[in-house]
Amino acid sequence: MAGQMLFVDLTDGGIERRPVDRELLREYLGGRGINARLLWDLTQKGLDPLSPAAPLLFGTGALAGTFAPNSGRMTVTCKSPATGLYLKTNVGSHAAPELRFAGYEYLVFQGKAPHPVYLWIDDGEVTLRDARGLWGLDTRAADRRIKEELGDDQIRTILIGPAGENLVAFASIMASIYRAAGRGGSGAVMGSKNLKAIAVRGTGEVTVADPEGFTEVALAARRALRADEYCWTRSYEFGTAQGIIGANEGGTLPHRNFQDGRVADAYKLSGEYVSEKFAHPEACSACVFHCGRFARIRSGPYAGTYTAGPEYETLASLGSKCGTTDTAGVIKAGELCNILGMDTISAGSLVSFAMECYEYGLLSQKDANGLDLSWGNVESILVLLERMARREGLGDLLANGSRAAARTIGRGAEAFAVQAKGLEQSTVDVRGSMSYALAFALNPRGPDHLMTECLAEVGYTPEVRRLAEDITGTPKATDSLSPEGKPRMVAWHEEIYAVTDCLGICAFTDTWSYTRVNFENMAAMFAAATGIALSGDEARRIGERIITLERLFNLREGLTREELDVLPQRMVSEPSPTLHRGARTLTKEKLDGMLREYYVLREWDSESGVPSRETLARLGLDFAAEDVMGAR
Amino acid sequence: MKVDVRLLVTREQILRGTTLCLELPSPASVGDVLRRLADQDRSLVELALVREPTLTLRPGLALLLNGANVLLAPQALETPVSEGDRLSLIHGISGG
Amino acid sequence: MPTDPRGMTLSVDSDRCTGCCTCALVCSFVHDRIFGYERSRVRVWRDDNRGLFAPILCEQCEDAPCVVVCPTGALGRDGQGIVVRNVVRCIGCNECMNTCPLGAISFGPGGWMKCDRCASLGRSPYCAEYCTAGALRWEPARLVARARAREVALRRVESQQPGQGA
Repeated sequence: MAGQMLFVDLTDGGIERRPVDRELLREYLGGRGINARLLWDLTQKGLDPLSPAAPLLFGTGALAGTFAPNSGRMTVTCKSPATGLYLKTNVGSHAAPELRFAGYEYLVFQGKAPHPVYLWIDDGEVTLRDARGLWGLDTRAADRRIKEELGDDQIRTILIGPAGENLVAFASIMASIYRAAGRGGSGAVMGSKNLKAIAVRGTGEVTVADPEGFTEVALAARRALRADEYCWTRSYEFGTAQGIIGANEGGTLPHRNFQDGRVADAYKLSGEYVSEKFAHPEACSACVFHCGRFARIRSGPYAGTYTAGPEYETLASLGSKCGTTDTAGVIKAGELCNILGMDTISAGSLVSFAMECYEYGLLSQKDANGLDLSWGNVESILVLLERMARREGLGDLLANGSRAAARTIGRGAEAFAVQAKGLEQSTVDVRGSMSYALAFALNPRGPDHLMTECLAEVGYTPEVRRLAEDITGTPKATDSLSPEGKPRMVAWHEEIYAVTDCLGICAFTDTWSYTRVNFENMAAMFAAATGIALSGDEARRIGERIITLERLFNLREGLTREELDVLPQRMVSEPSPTLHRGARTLTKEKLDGMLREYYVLREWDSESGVPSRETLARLGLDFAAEDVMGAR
Repeated sequence: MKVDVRLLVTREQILRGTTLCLELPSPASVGDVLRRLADQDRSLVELALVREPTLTLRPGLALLLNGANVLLAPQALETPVSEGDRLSLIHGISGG
Repeated sequence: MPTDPRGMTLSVDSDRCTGCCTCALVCSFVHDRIFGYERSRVRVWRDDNRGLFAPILCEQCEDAPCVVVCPTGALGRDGQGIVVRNVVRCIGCNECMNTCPLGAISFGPGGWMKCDRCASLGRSPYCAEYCTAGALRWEPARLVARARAREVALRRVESQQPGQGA
């Protein structure tokens, strides 16, 4: 494991290699953790996320490139242009292993290139190349041109589309064209640096400190996951959209911008239907689950469409949330987002926000440059996506994100912006689940499930129910509407997600098939790979350190708990008619109660939600104390 | 008393959107509904229900009563059902 | 697709490949204790744009062009039907790599590499054992054609009777 950190100063073209500090690895494990610490060190309070000084970090997981199960992932970290806060976003594909085989574990970009460039990593040779000819191209065309230019079709690319170039607040960074580091606008940060792409070819090797020990624990974990026949089959056969039907029956599948939570023909968005009619499975590096899809449309108005996906989020966000269950239309919308380089969650949120404004007369057809924004109008959805990425007409306004767009529109449009802290909520209705509600509110990047997905609350097997009870100490843990036990539930999931992200393991690994990959065997894999001793408890403590450091980043910006730990207004002020017969299930008071219990659990101040100096010392985060206390 | 049971376990059921309307004597419980289902359709038993030692769902499945997860609550089988209720038999894992 | 003396074969079903490359990671590790897509005897060709993947590896051809073309007779077949190389005779001329119609022999940074179905490790192929997608399978040769025929037959029957498929 002798990878390096590559520091690239885009302003002067300087490229510097540094070894990965073992102490940093010991304290932060890798990927998300090391990125979080680097971001802390390289960022000052108030820094403009789109300024040249803002850093953009790519961190491969500590186990990426090995056969540890589902281990090929990478974390992208920066300050979010959507929220102005901490952003980490995680991406699969094969880019992380390729980087490792080339000899690099971390890429740190700072500065701004004088004209568009791309970074070409050809094993030991690293060069910045002219990308003026690539600027303006979609991700598919840019990927093709790079492979032609360099003469190797097995290069892996990490790149942005027109949305990133145009600084769209929800522009994503795409790996291998279709895999997104989606949330929070990291693509705009890349665009602001005039960095179109990173192309990687790695023909080298990754080694581990203790091959025999590593083999034993990693292959045992692979076999354990494969032995969970039920989970494996559902994932391989139907992908992430296996959850659509359950969400719809539960009344939590967002319909018309979360106005309610059920559609009549949800089956058309289901993994069962999509996989039968349109898509085959695909996988990221070393995956056991194979939940990825690759869809093709062979007939009808969208014939010729092809793209990876659609995932649950894409189907729900661009489908039911925008009032349509036209499967092919949604796949087409997903293709557009992928090649334009936009997060499908936020893109769908902006479309459905505009549609609700249109429904209530806050936007007219004239405002929409002639588009009919009636619910479910697929043609309008497709045109609007294109206009957002290119910042044309109404699209220019929407490209700033729903918080900013609602402020501009005014007249109560804020109520239709289902966002908190500037990030649009992912396509899960938290009014039906108290642990999701708490986790979304606490998420440092904004309300979504990809930092902390508390699936244990669903308790879909006796073993998961036992785990939920063990974590929380109460049988109420699996009662979705009870706040009881939820703070512990959230804390446990936050920590295990942090550790999986550090190792480069997919977050689904420990929540689709609970207990088979856990703190203990993740710690054992890390120890065998790096030669740094680590126990399960220590790994969990490091998870807590990372969660706390991420919060410190946001506190350093001067925000209070009332500004940080919030949910979209609609979630706490309007009941959903499809949940519990329209009864109010989530209120601000209920959320605040859980938050206070959570602060106490974390040994943060129960009123301000700020970690005390003692807590910082306990977690080895003393270095941050002055900056955070000084910001208050 | 009539309750709607939505069976959404197999691919075929999902694509067809199978809904059964069951007529039950009042009062009735979730357990009564499951027992009636098990009696009515042997293939359903194999797919979704486990009879021994007590009647329950196969691991991985979930039962929603008007959208709320019932089999997780204590004494779930005794949960009363009433006229017009909607019971959904679904796969429990979710998320993406 | 020759079989070993027990009638087992390593069958390749690209339709089921999801491109996870676990085969390559397992292969490079069990042979050389390293991980690397390009350090593996099986390589997965990936077309990212079109979502197409295929594992490429030596099929131990019955009438192997590499054996025929080798100028020093360094390539031959062992008792299990595996095409193997005599290191002493090999002069590294690359003719075998240039001739292989599958592109399954490479002279890379790791030297000469070609699948030996894990014969050198004295066991059945690791890649098939850890290929959860079922694209690489170690199975009785007599079943391969039968399984494929069954798939084709079912597809045909189903297309004749819409809505009646299993």
